[in-house]
Amino acid sequence: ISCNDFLDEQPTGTLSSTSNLTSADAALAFANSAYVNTSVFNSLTSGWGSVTPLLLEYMTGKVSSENSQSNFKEFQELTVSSRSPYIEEWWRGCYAGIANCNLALQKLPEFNQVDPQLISRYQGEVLFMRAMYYFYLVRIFGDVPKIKTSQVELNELFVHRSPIKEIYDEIIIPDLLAAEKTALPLKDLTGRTSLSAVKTLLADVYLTYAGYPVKGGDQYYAESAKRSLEVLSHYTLFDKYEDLWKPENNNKGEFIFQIQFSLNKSSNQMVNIPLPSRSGMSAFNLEYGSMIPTKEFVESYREGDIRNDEKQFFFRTYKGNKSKFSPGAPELTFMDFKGYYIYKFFDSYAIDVAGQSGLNWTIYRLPDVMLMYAEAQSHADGAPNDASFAALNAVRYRAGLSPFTNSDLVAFTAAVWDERYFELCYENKMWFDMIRTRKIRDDISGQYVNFIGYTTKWGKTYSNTQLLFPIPLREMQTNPKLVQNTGY
Amino acid sequence: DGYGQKITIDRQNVTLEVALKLIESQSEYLFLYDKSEIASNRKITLTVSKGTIEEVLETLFDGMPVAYKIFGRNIVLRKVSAPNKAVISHSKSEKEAEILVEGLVTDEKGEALPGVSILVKGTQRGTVTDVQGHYQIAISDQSATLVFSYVGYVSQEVVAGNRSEVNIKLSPDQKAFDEVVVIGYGTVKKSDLTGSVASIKSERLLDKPVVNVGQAMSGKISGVEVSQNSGTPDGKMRIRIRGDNSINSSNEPLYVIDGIIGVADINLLNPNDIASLEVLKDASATAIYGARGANGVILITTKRGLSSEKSIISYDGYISIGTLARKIELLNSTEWLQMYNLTQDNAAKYDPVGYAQGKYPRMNTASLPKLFNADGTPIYNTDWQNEAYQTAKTTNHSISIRGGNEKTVYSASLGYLHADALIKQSYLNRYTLRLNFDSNLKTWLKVGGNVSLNHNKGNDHYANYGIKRLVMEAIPLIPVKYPDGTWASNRDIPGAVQDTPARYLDEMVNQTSNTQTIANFYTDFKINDELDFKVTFATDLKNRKTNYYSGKNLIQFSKNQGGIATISTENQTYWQNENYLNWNKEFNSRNRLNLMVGLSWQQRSAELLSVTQQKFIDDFYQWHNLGSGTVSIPPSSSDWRWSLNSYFARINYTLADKYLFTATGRYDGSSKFGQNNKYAFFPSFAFAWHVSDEEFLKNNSKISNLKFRASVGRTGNQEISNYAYAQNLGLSNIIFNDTFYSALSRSTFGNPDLKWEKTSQIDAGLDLGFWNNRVDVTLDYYYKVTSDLLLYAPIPYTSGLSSVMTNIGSVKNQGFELAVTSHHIEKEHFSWNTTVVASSNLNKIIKLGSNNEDIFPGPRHAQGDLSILRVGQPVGSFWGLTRLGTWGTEEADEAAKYNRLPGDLKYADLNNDGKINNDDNSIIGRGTPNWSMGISNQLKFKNFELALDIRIVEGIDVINAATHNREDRFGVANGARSILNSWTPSHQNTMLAERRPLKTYYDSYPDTHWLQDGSFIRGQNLLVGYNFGSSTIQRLKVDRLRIYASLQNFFLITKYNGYDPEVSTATDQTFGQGVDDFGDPRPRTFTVGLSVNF
Repeated sequence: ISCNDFLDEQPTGTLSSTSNLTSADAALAFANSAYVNTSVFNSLTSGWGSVTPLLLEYMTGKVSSENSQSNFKEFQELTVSSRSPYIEEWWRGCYAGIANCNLALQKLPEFNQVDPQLISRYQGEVLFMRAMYYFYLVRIFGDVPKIKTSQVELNELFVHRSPIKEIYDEIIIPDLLAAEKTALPLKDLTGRTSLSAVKTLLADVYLTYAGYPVKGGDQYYAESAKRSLEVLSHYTLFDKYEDLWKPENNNKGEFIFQIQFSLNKSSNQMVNIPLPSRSGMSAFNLEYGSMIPTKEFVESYREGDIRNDEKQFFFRTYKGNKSKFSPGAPELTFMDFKGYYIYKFFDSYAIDVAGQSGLNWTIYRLPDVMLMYAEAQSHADGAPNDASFAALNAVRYRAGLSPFTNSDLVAFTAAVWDERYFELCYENKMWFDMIRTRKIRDDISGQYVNFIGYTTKWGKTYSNTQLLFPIPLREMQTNPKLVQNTGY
Repeated sequence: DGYGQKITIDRQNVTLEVALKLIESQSEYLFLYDKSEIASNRKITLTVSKGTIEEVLETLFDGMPVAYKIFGRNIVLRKVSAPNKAVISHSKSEKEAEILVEGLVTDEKGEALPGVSILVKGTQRGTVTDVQGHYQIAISDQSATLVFSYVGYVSQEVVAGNRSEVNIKLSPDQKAFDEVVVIGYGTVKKSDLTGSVASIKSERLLDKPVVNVGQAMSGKISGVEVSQNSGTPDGKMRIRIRGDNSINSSNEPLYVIDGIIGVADINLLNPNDIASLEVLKDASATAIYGARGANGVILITTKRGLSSEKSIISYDGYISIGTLARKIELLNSTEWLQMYNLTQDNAAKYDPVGYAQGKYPRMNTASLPKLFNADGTPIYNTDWQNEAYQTAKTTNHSISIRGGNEKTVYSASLGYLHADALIKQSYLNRYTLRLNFDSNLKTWLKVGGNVSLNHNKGNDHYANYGIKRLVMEAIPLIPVKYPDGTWASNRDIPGAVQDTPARYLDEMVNQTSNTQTIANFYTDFKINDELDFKVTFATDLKNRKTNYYSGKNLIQFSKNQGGIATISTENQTYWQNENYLNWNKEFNSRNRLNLMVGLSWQQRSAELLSVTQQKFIDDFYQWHNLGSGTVSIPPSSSDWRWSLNSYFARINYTLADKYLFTATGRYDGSSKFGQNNKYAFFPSFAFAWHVSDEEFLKNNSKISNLKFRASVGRTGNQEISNYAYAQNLGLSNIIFNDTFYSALSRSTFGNPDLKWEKTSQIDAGLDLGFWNNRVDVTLDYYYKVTSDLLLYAPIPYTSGLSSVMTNIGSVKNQGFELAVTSHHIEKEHFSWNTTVVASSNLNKIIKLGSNNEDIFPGPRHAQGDLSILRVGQPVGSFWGLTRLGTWGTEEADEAAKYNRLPGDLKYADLNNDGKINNDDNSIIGRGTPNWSMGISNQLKFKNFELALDIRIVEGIDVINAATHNREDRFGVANGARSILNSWTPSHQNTMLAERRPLKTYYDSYPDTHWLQDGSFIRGQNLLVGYNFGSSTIQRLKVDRLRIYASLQNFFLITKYNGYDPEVSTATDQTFGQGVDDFGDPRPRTFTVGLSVNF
């Protein structure tokens, strides 16, 4: 045997980057890779009973934890460090997603035997996801390394941070504008990206771009409103809130874009993470109590708001699960948890029976878009129009509240923001709204006050430092070109 | 006489040489004689029946001018002159000899030594002693020096002086009967070794009953650290030769069994089959396995046949009983309840709002009538260690047959082992079969080979972290079962969740079976007296299968899945072909050359498959019928293959019997590396000098042996995953519409320049013998640097990946090794010897990654990293906070700066930033010892023998990660009894925080309180044996009969508070030594055994 042949062993179970792939299925597999890291939006991190969404809730001051291992205390004390596993996971997950998108965008045009319409649709999905990952990165970390191609050489690895605006202008916005022009379907009920999802994300991006820290200008309110308006007509609100936490409604109804979970395949940890700690109320292995609403926030809902009725968005009582208590135990019929817990993700089949949940995690749903529209349109035009009132009041109507009629921009904005708090709470929206507007709603007074200088219920005061999270220490150590955010 | 096989020979008219060979083949003796002195071609007739060696020799040499002397296993033959006057040679040139000197020459025991040469120094005048050891010689003047020499004895020179009678006592020269030591691709006399090689023969290796090779080696070889980290009967040993060289590649030594390189699982080998075990330590010794020699090489040679007319059948068997050597003190029911209520009450301080809301009630005993009496006292007080651990019974039987004739020898052995583990429902059965044969087919052709079939099957709950943890955490208030026969569960206490360990042990199966077939066939062509060519083919086939089932009722394990059944298999196939030429050239008796050149091909491949099914209607099916489960998890399968191609050569040159030179080179190519760097060359050079053969030491009365050795060389390491050089696209599953879809993305960064990790090593050693080698000392110093480390270097996450396998970084190790054997007493009926082996290794990381960044290689605990790699520090360093104690009431203000209350843990703020977080971590200890030592004593008194082995490991730390669960947190699980010492307002000077419910907050991080001194002194083995005397043996018609009893792990002195400081619960992780996250308890084992030869 020739010795070189003898030593030439090639992987048999893994393709390599030079494999020659031509089928439509392979093209689809590359497109699918863009979604693999959507798990970053809701996945376990190190720390018992800890999931990524907690990062964006713990900083709001509207949430507490009865799970010490979720490291809530460092957020409560505003002493979050660059070693926080939440931070590392958000950074890692988003960039892993971006790397997949970069490779897919490079590979997809090579599939010249596949229907071009299909390739166009796939490109739309990948562009959408790349924009999404960067959108989270700039809001969490500020300036970040700009990487648009697949890195192959070891000497390409060290990339400096690019300004936030450059990331928006050169990646996020161009990607979404390009995705708008692809062959994406208007809607999708299987969980894939649709044109509506692209426009929703673009609406959010422009609204954010108009606010802090870019302050791009009022014209971006108009660009935002234009996109959200195009979405509104294609979706309708659920009649009842409980439809939000039924897995059978995944990707349907008012849901525009969700992270996919499925029974026996991948369980949504956010279903059991917020349940009262070790209460024995669920079929899950454990209830963690890692995310519980503050009493002040829950009690700041206005009189008559259905959403804070028992077992709407919150609950205080339930029954013990039969897997956790002996037959005949009084807990099996009634338990009082002596405080408020979140009911928004209450997949009752999972909690009572299965111990695992196929409930999707929502990134965008209709009320979010309605409220984005109301805010963007009113700011673009200086006053709300009928469509904005309709959008705001649709959200209020479902909550049992009377229509809002004041067209004063400040009052209208406050009313929209109120609904963003009360409707979208604990869905990873509140923190981004706070840093976009640099305003925070004081639970006691109901007033919007400056974020910087605001003192939380735990006596800690936000400063400029809290506007951004630190770059993960590991990344600082492996990439000498990075400079840490100030204050960390 | 320990080698007292009975000899039966009935041969007419054979040469003396053949007769001697026959005796050799029936016994363990070897004859040493000079063919020019002894007429070995003389025809004789020999008839003995069941004679002792003395009887046989007496018969054989009756009437011949031959004297014999038995030294251990060697029999030296000398020609003797007739018992008459001394032969006096005259020389004309010499002055007439005038003085007659006579005397007696005796051996070390005072017995007459016939055939000793006596020479007058500087003359040709000489004589030999007669059968009574007498001599007579004439000398010319009183200053003449007499030289007494005898094969196998140290020569002595004596000045006659004015004496007419000079009696001499000669002492044996150990070197002359040197054992043969196996080295790579050959053997060498121990005295001819240039490298650092430790050799252990089977009787020393098996001086205590063991179930595997690692146990047998433990504490016996300097520089070899054997850590038995598991209580499982077949537990994986962590074996390190001269420290850790590598970070991401393997640090395990290379195992070579009968020439088969890299045998996959030595645990399957029956230790009784081992004839000798050699450990190659320095580069000179290991370089011949260059490619894979960097971590040292362990050569195992199995027992071969005997060319005797009568076969030997031997049986070895033992039974043993293992009991829990130590228990961990846990809270009992009453204490638990008391601590629980205290904990709930303390919520008033740590969560006043929640406390006011009523979130923290005391235990409502009235609502739990199954667990509490009417007066609120607990009904049960279960000791879960008693419920989970058992008395482990082990049975071992080994039978071997060794036989053959002048041309062909064979051996066969059968072994059976049943060993219980301490943890219930866990055991191992092992069946071994081995066949060896060697045949001189032609004068120019020898063939041979062996086949070994090993199979084991067992159930092992030791691998299950959850169960071991539960033994510690199960609440003592809970019984195993209630009086009505139903399982009790921790969940019967509000807030607790899991079932009891008893139930998990009962409703879970983790059954692993391994089948290994090792076969080897060689052909040895003797081209001429000096040249031979050997061709070998070998295979090592290994199948592993694991059957796992976790019951449908087991909370947190498999209840939500409705039962989980998994079958996984791995089939490995290995073959090798090696061809090498050996040239032995003796230029004269003192200058010799040995040259070996060869080439080799090796290939190992594997196929793996794993299938999991869930949701069964009943636990009945377990893993037997996967189709009966209704939920399928996608199966996984994979395969891999690697190939090695090598060219190697070695030259040994011996100059004047005193100066030894060795040069070795191996040129290796491996498929594991990038296209640009597949091959690498691994050279080594060594030199040894028999200083004691030099004139100035030759007759030193104290130093009987002194050899200096030095070597330098380079070896390699390729033990990384296959295809690490390649830029792979990995597949993952994603879900749309409740259906899995495939996704393709980069899974490895790839590195076409990936190359060999290289270890350069220098070694300097001394072999010393004192007082005729009654004391033997071997001392080695080594220094080695591993460079081009195969490192999963962290890369920025912005790449989309987390690491790339590159050749970055280096690590150095240096250390001393000492082995001392002392024969204190060597009497016929009483002997006592002591062996001490000691070693010390210092490890230091020189360079890491592209920016020398810290690397956290794992193991990790949920509360933080336990291990760190940092430049300038040793590998295996532990990482954590410094716990100062607890905040006192008077320190309330200071505590408040850290957002803490009196009663909370107080950590050192190392960076003084007013915050306690990971930035206050530092290196707090390490999992490798400063030094370790093994002390073995062997005593023989008449038929009795006594062995005592002590092992000392000093300056090692253990991080008891279970401290998190046992001490730092408390509330819904049991805890260590030490928590009774927690902070209270009246007891503030403590390392344990005030108790509070988990729902409030508590601090628990890897810290200096988790870290403990793991130094220990262990009584490894205490053994008493009895060898039955000849009368009993003859009556029972057996050749040998020995019974023994031993106690292993008979004491343990340590400050460590876990089960055992020799622990690793991260066995698969390179730096897992000394990490104890619910480690296994170790048994104290009492054994009785029997050995008999027929």
